[in-house]
Amino acid sequence: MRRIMSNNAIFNATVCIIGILILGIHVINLLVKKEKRKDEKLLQDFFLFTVLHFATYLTFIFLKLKGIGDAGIIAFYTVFYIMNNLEVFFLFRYAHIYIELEPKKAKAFSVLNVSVLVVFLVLDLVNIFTGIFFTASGGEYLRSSTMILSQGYQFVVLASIFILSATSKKLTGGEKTAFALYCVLPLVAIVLQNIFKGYAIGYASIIIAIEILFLFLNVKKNMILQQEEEKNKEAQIKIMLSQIQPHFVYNSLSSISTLIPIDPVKAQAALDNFTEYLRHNISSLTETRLISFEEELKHIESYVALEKMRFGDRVKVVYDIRTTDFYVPPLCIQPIVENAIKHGILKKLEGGCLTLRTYETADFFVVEVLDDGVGFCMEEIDFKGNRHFGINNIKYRLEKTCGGELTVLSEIDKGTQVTVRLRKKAN
Amino acid sequence: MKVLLVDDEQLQLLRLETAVKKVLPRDCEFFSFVNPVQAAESVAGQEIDLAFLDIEMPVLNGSSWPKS
Repeated sequence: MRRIMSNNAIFNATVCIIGILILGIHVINLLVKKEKRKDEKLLQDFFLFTVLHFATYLTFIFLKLKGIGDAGIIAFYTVFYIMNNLEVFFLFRYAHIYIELEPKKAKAFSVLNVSVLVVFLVLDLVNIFTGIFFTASGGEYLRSSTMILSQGYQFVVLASIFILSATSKKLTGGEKTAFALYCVLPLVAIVLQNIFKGYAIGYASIIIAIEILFLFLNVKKNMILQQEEEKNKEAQIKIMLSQIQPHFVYNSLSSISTLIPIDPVKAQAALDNFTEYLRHNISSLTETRLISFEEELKHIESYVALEKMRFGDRVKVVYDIRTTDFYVPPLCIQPIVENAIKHGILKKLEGGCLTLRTYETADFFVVEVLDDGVGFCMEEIDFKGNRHFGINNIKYRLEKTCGGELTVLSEIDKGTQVTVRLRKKAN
Repeated sequence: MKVLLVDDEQLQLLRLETAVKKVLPRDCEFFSFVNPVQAAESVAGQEIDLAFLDIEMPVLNGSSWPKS
């Protein structure tokens, strides 16, 4: 009897040490990582609780060898139960951020998660006095016949994760399998636990399950994000190439050349503007980070000056800049200005006026590009087609790089208003 | 010979005019406009022998110009 006991203890202690080592490395890796995503922060909390759980259990194994009495056993197991429930709580928070539930669903499940957690935490404490889950006698831990109830929270959470991940449209097959495996493993462990009594198979299954989560999900997520970054870069290169329009380059250069004998001073200024315009376009090929709005404004000003040289009084621009204290992806606002001039103002015989306005509200930096050009019919335009590649490209990059949103409002013969809103928190 | 030149870019029009004047006989009569609608109105009823029209202009562009 005594030999089997110590075998259990050795097995359980080994499982705990392996768990602490493996998960500890993950936790440290996540802790030192500087820019953490929300799902990584939650994963870190979840891992941290699991490590603490293992560590407490390990301490318990050694203390038990010396004998800690019935009260000690009850105290330790109560801590385990509470920790287990907290672990499950963080697991669910991680899963529901990872699965990217719709806001309404996410809120409903968060409320459910918190309320069921509270119920089970209370039950864990109630157990001390009533023994609904376990009791202790003669220095041994004894499960009650209703012990299975203590796993209720875990079942609710695992079942929710299983269903939510399986029905999610955003997850790939691999991710769904990883979540499904994670949910099924504890059940296998419970069955095995009944065969090998006294061995902490549940703990071993937690380690395997967590490794599945980490390797399949976290690594996969990192890969997806990396691909997304590459896609961003590509989108930027695409717009940069599309922005350097041969027509604009040739016409600007030939206009400057015509201007040289007529007004050399003006021609020189125009050439400077052209240089500035080109410099900004080309540097955005390599610069993928956000740039200050001031820099984007310089680009816009040089572009506008060139259009004024080409079209004279037909292009009027009012700058109403109330803030420049924010950042934008390169080539985001200038193409909007270009669109407004080319497709709005210059389509009118007498030309028109463009207003570039920036201001801040409590939560947002706002950039507005308004023109009184020909406008267009909102119903006839679908921004998904290739013809509106520019606006789609800007919208995509704004969303991906700084959580910005872009809205277009237009009315025939009245003009167009493009509004870019950048959340201050993300800036 | 009557020659019509229309381009909504002033400097491009100037350039076009200089280039065309170099190769055409001296007695040609030139009508240059930056405003295509104004151009169409003022040359209406006149016999134009040669026209240089910009492809991209507001309201009336090179391809939608009235033939008469």
